[in-house]
Amino acid sequence: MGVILKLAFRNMKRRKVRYILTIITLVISVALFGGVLIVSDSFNVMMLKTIDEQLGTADILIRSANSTDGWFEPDEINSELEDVRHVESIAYRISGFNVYISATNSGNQVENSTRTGIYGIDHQDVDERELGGKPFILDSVSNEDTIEKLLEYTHEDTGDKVIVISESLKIQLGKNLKANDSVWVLPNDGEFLGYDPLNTGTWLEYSVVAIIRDIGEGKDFDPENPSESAMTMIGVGGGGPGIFVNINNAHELVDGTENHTGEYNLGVVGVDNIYSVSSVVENIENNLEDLNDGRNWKVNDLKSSNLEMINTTMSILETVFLIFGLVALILSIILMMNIFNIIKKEQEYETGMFQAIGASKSETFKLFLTQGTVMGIIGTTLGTISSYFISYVIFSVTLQTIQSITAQFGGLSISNFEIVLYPATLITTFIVGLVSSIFASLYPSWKASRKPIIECLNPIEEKSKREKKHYWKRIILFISGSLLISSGVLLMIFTPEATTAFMPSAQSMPGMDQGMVVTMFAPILVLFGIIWLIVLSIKPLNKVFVALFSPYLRKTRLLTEKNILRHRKRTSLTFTMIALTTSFLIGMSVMMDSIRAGIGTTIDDFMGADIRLYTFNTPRSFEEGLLNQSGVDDVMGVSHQNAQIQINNDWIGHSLLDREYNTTIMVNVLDTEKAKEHLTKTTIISPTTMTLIEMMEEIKMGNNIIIDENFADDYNLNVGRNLSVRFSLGTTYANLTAILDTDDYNAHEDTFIVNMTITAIIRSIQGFSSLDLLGVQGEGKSYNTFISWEIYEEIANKNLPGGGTDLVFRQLTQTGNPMFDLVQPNWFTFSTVESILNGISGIEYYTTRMDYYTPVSYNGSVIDYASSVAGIHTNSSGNLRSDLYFGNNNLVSQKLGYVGSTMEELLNTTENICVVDEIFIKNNPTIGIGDNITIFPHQFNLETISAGGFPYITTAIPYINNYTSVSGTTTDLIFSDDVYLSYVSNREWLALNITVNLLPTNLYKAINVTIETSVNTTVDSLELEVLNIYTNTFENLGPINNIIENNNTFNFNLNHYYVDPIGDLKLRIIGRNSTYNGNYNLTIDSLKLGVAKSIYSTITPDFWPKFEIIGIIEAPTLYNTEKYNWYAGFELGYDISGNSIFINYEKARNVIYSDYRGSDYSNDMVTSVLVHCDHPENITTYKNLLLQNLHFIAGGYWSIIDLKSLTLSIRTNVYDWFTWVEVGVHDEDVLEEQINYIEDRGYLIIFAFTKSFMSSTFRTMINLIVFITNGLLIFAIIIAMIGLTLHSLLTTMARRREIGMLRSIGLSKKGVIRSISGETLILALLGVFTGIFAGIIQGSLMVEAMPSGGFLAVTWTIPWLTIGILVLTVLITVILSSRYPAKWAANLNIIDAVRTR
Amino acid sequence: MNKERRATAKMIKIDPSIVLTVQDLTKTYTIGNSTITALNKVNLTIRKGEFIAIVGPSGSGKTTLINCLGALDFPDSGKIIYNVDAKGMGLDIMLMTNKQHKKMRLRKIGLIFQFYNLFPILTAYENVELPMVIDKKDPKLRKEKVKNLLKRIGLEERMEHLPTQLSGGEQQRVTIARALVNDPLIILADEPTGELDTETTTNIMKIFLDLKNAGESILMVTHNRRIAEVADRIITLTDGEFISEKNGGKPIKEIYKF
Repeated sequence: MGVILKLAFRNMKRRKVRYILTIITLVISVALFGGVLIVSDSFNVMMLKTIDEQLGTADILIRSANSTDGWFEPDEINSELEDVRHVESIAYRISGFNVYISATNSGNQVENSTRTGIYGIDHQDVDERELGGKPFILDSVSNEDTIEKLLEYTHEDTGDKVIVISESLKIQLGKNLKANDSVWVLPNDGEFLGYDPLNTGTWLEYSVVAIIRDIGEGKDFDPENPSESAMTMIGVGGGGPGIFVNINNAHELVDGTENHTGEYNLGVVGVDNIYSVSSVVENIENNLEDLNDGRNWKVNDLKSSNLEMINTTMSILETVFLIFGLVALILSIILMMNIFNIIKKEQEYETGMFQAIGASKSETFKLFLTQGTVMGIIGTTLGTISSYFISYVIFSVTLQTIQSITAQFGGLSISNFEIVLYPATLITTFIVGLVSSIFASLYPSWKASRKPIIECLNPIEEKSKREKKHYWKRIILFISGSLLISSGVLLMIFTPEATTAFMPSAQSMPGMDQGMVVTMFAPILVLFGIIWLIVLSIKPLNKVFVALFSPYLRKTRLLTEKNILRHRKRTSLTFTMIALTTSFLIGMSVMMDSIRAGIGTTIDDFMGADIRLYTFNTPRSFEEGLLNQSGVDDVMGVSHQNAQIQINNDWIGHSLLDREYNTTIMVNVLDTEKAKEHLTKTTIISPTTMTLIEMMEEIKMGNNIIIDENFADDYNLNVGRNLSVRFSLGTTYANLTAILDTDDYNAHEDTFIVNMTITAIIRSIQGFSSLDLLGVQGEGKSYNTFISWEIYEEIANKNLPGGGTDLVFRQLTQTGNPMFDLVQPNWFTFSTVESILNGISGIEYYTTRMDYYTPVSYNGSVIDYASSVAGIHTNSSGNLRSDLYFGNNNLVSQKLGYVGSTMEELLNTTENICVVDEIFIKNNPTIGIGDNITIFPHQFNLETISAGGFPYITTAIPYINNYTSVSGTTTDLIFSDDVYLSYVSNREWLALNITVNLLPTNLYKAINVTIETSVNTTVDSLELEVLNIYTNTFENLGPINNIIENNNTFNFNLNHYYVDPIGDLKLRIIGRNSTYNGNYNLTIDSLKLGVAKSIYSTITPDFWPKFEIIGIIEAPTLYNTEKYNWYAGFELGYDISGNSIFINYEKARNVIYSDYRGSDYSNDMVTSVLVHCDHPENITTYKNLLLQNLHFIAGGYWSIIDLKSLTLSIRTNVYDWFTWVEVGVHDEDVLEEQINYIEDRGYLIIFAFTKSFMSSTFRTMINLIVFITNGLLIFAIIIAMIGLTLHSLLTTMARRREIGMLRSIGLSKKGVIRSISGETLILALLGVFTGIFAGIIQGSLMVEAMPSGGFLAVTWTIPWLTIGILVLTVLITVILSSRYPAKWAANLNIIDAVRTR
Repeated sequence: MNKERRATAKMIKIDPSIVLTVQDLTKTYTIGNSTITALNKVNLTIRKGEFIAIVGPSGSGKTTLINCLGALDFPDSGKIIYNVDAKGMGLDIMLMTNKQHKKMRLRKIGLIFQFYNLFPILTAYENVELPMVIDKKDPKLRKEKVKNLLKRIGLEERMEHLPTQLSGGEQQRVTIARALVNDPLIILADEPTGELDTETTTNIMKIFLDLKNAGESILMVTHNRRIAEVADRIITLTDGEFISEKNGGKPIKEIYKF
């Protein structure tokens, strides 16, 4: 062992008490530092694990974009995935299909089923089990916690036909649906497979084994909509309605007529750690691209965006934890420096001696540093080990609280308790601790080594000339302290204010960071500055305190005063240590107590009512129902709308379809009367004299708007300023697929600009301070504005889409399938309805359309066999008006030279021209303005064909597997009479499919069919059916006589489609034998058809009439009639799809649909009528009148679509319900009833909470924060107190000689005790009171820095209790810690003491 | 050329029998507003094997002189030239670097203080050995030499004792052994018997005389004129100036008669 090490160890051994105490403080501080790091790591892992478990563990999704429905076999890509580094598991799934599901077996598809997504998983696959997360299970038949295990369940009735469904689907199916209930699913292409859409009892029965919350697992199946949006504590977002089934059942449900067994359409990859996901995605993309298989593989990263959010959240958590860890470390450093200063002083003589016998300064330096290092190694090692236990305590308490909070919210289940020990964290803790301890000993060691030997050996020789430097030094130090305070204050003034958010959320992070800087760091800077300045002013303060304690100190007053300041550096360090810890405790207490004191206001401001209930949308009419529930005092429905406001020619805010933006303007639509009554705590900034009642009156009466203070400040807006406000009146999608895919390309936002006047500027209105929590605030800054329902309804009413069209009606086809009758076009003679229209006085005018499917070609090739070609009136008069009166379409492009600003004006010409919609252009990107397309005209000639007279190709196939043998001719049945096909079955019914192929050189219509069968009494009855290609259902043509052999002729409905574009007509013969007990058979003798053949050949479309495209209109939307075509059966949410061509009505009736042309316009056959009524409010009345008259006078069934009322109702939907309960009623009970009310009506609630729930949750959170911060700070105070004890002990020991002298000149033992304990007491109280002073300032600044009008309402509070406890604790500690040294000093032998060197 | 080499380059030729020569040594202190002259143009030469005692009352500058000669403190002016290579090449202590000062204290000067100045945490053996350890001497050599020295001063049996377990005289003997352990040019003793009783003082003085007889050069400052009589020369220092010098060499038994 080297001499320095030996000396160091011997020194430490000699003064072991102080070293042990120092090591204890180091252990505590390192343990705190390491503890918070471990907690931080553990939280990080827990968050990632939670995401994996709750939001699905799948990290990457792989799809093929270039194959039908994306089917592929795993072998195609498996090897490309396996070899990629970090890939842990690979599974294959089925997704992207929809099926119909019903909760009853005695209903039909239209009325008793809902459409839902289906997800198939290979639940027994090992990798799939690895990838499967843990969903939030609401109801289950078993205790299993994964979808995979749940799907293993075998049900006593349905066997392996079990299903897991999402909560939203459950609500759609019926609120009472629960686990173990049956549901019935109509497979894809079910009609072809024999399932009857009109009878849910024929569908596949499944047992529901579990109902899960929408978030999570479902997201892993949809690459277009990854999990990020679902990651909120309150469960906003989600996968939407969906079902999970095992892979075999999925194939049965989605394959339909195809067979893709062994194939999948989704690859799912799990990566060993979330940080590698993006690189794995890149590698997989490269590997799949190298395959060059034309599949166009799409690889989606599901996790990296979450990682970013977690990192941001964790960085805040880590920062907060680190602050406390660093405070502990700083204290430890100060304490060690202090102790080293004392040790340095104590060992001064030995140091001098050491050098006097030849040791160098560096050796002296090493001697001291070694002591620091040894202490550092011991303390840091023990501290690093202890950090685990500290982390255990912090983490367990924190986790427990968070778990209880999230469990109450019910949206997110936090992963289990697991302390994570990363070697890197332990090493970091050890290194930081060691470096800190070495750092703490560096300066004293250096100073010790640099002290002249002669001064070490003889302290009397110390030179006084050093004092000369103090003057300038003190000035510089004072300036530095002032600079610290100034920079803190400046930071507070100039840093942008934090957002209104309280909880970190992905959207609000940027603002949150700035807020953190203001609320945390700026006051800390000020705090440091204050303590700094007070340290420099310790002399007068000391004087004051000594004067205050003079009754206690008595004779030793002067001595104590001088002694405290004798070793200024040492005293300052101890003082700083105490002041810093107490100030942090008091500062945090001020902040937390202020928040706690403001909880009532915060919750009032946040809630605005006793109950808040947030729905996707609910009719405003629910208000009455909600109000009628027991215990309810009042209810207010609020709508949140998006808007943009024009300021200085710039539009602030964003449209609903914008994906990237920085500013959101939220228009909150209020019930002014309810607001007047309940939202009384509203703070009005300007006009200062305005009352809430006046303000609400103002916004009710005119186009007035209230804006929030932040908006007014940021854009320099004043009351009275006129603003152009562009209201969003909602987004409409072209079709259901677009809605489900959030396909904004096919969406349209209706906006309307209104000039509004700022009537008031408010700080906040209760309940509107934190819209981000409600999931409606977007990125960046968000401003609240308020208008009244009265004004909003007026705006919404005035600017309804659809232009002048209020009602659209058409006659339903009667295919026998009510669902498809709604979307099937039907020709009717207008004259039969015109008189009815004219008979209703409120109907002011109308227009008609000829709108039907027809093939369209371009450049000699057919581009679509079923384009909608609509003829519209462009120049009509009287009640039958031009289409111009009905539409509000926008021309997005038009050919130069054609006059007109509307589609109707462009088409008002005799030229062969047309206007198309954007979808047509999207589908045919090579076609544009100026191009010519040809349109197939509906002109047919009748052809009667005798059996064998025409070479039709027929194929007969027995239906499914209910036959035992087939004999005779199965092809070319109609080639001649007596074909003779024998088909033997042993089931209760038999069916034979016959496909007739009409060669598709021309289009055909089936006119009639004649069939002759052999007499066969083995069947009870025979029927002939035909497939309607648009309904995909077989229509019954009638019974075939099976008793007498004769020709059975059936006419086809000419309005129906039976011949598909490739010329196939599908017939089916059904035979039944109720008493089958052996084989029975069917024999067809002959078959012949009558058809109408188009005079135009599909092979040569060049001869079709040519139309030049001269304009393009906006893509169709659900509520815009101008683009309305026969696909728009939106009552069912069926596709509008667009792809329409608009031509002049004259061209339609003369050229394209001439078969339907009447003698005059009234006698034309048309497909739809557009009606304009006098007032929107009366539309419903006219609709009902029209419906009755059309049915009873014109006959048949009619579909009348009220375009305005529904739109108006949608626009005035309520999203946010405020409920006030009666006094004495428990809000939770009322909430339950309200939830039931809304869910019973099939509406989904996003989240709901009560004031009592929020209040208790918030208090729990505050208590948790207080517990953690105070817990950490109490440790810090323990360090400070140990420091104080050491200070007292060491200074006493160092003054042994003086104490002897004092005793020798007559000072009593009591006097010595008073002097020693008085010193400690005064120093401690100086530190504590400075800390309390600085802490109150720091805390007050933090309170001040809280964003005004934000979520948190703070009431500035001084934590008297904490201060009292603190002072008491310090006093007790001081008395206890100074007792031993004081008594020791008093009992010193006078002679020994005075002889001490 | 580094500082040490530059300083060495200024070596001057002196009489090889001289161990140390002091020329016009002046040292002042400033305490508050007053300046005290501790040494005023002091001149002194010490030869090999010479035992010189400097006597004077408190505050006369004795300890300042020892501190300056021991490279613990530095004069305001004057020269302190040590015969650094024992061959007649002298070097002024004022021209030396810190490193050379350290080497001087380690190898050329043996310091003995009034209060023994032992490391309380080290045994007698370790205290004596310490300068050799600092000088990185061979452990075997260290052991042999330390034991010999402790034997020479009669503490062989107590070498594992800590200073607190030794009497004042024993402690001072350990200090002497420590001062001798690196074979210094000269032993500088500052009131070596100041804390000791008469018997112990006699024993210490006997050791000094033995050392002197063995060829060691010794400069001892003391306020005790009686024990100074044993030295070869006795110089009286008053108010920082040498005011008289006389020959000593009185046998110790004549000074203390027991």
